[in-house]
Amino acid sequence: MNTVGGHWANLPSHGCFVYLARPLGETPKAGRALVEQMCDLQWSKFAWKKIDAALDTRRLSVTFLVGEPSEVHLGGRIAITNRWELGPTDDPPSIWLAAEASRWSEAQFAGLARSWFRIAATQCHVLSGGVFAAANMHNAKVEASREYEALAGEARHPVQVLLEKEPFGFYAWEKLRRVYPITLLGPKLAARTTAEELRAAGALAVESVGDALMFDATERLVEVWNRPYLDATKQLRELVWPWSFQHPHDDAKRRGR
Amino acid sequence: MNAWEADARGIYTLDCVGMQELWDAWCGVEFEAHEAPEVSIVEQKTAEVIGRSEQKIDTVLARLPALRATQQKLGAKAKNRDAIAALRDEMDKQEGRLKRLKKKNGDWHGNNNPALQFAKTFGQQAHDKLARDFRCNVYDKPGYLSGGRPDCVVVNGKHDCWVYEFKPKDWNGTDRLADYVKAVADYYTARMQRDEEPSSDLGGRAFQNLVEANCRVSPDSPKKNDTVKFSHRYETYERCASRYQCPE
Repeated sequence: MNTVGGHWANLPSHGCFVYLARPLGETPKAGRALVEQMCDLQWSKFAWKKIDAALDTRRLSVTFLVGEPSEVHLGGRIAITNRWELGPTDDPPSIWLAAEASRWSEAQFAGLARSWFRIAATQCHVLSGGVFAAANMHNAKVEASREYEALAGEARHPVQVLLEKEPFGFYAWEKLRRVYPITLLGPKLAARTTAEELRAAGALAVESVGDALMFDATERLVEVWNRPYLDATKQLRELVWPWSFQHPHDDAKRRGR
Repeated sequence: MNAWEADARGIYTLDCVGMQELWDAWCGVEFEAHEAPEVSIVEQKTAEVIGRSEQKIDTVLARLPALRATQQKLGAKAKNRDAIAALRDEMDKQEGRLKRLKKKNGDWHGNNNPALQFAKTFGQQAHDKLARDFRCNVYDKPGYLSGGRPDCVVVNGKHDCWVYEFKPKDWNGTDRLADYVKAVADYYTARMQRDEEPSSDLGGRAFQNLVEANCRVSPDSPKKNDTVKFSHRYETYERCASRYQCPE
């Protein structure tokens, strides 16, 4: 199921997502492990009894929201099972999280995201993942979840316009969405490259996690649709281009990219 | 008797003045940080609207004895018997409902609740406007899946195929949009693969052609092996951007 969180806080934020090849319900311990990482985020009303009840493998998903409908400061969803048998043109199961950066620091968020990546790579059938910064919670939520939202009558944020031009989500079964400040390559995508190639293309740190590879494209979590980011990741984008979504904005061969 | 029945039904139908009063009350609620919102104003206004309707109940019920007497007189003639019997049944039903509603604060459950009527009607107006703004090819029609209907299906151009759900901006929760977008894609895919025409409610042949021209995943492959795909988006609207308008 999709989630909508009301008014997203207009504050600098971070986001992360992971795509899985099989629903999380097939690896229930992984679901709990993912949520355990969120304990460090420390919000009130976090009760394990409720979480364990919610992680029932018959459920479609568990949603997290911190704040009020009038201002949401953290939002996320862990998809557990699927209503129908997944086909090649269905989006793969995913988990995502977005949180505003004044309450949850970059270090905290990046630490949680890396932990998610490690759990996904070692306990699930993982495809890929990404961690990034965003100008506000709305952009972070839309980028992390691919659940587009817009306020009718208002001009679209430029990032939303770019996001809506992304190819369909089902490409994530076989391809990398794009290079993110922290990127996870599941085994299938990791087999397309090597740690050495990634480092040669500018990856700052490369970590093997099982058969997956996790690498840092930038020193910090930054916004990913602007010129400085494109400049910083040009070689990496060239490297992954053949097996990426090939969003035109990411084409390193386009003039100025 | 028809006039009585119309008056009885009218009690449940929130009149326009009532709607506008509820609108002003709801949109006037301020949500300040660190303070509980003043929804008591909305509750108070709802009680006022209910109170006015309750006064009408007494007036309508007071007319019943005279109407019953007329019913009896007319029903004595054989040619009127069936028609009067039907009218009597209807009046019995309305009388029963009105008496139940007469309780203090009323028994305004479900569709009788004025606040709910208000929300439904305003929500409908907002959706209708969005459907016009987004030029939905198919707007709020059943037929794609049981127990649900997507707000808007629209094809704007190449790979620009959407299913929208319209929601108030501060709405919060889960939704069936993922189900809808899959059902819509499956529906037009099946028709493409079988070379069939959708029902006219769901766009008919013209819309099917538009879908096949713009929404196919692998346009170079034979249609019977291909699928169509839609993206999905929530279009949110400000609950109180424009005051509820009375129908002309």
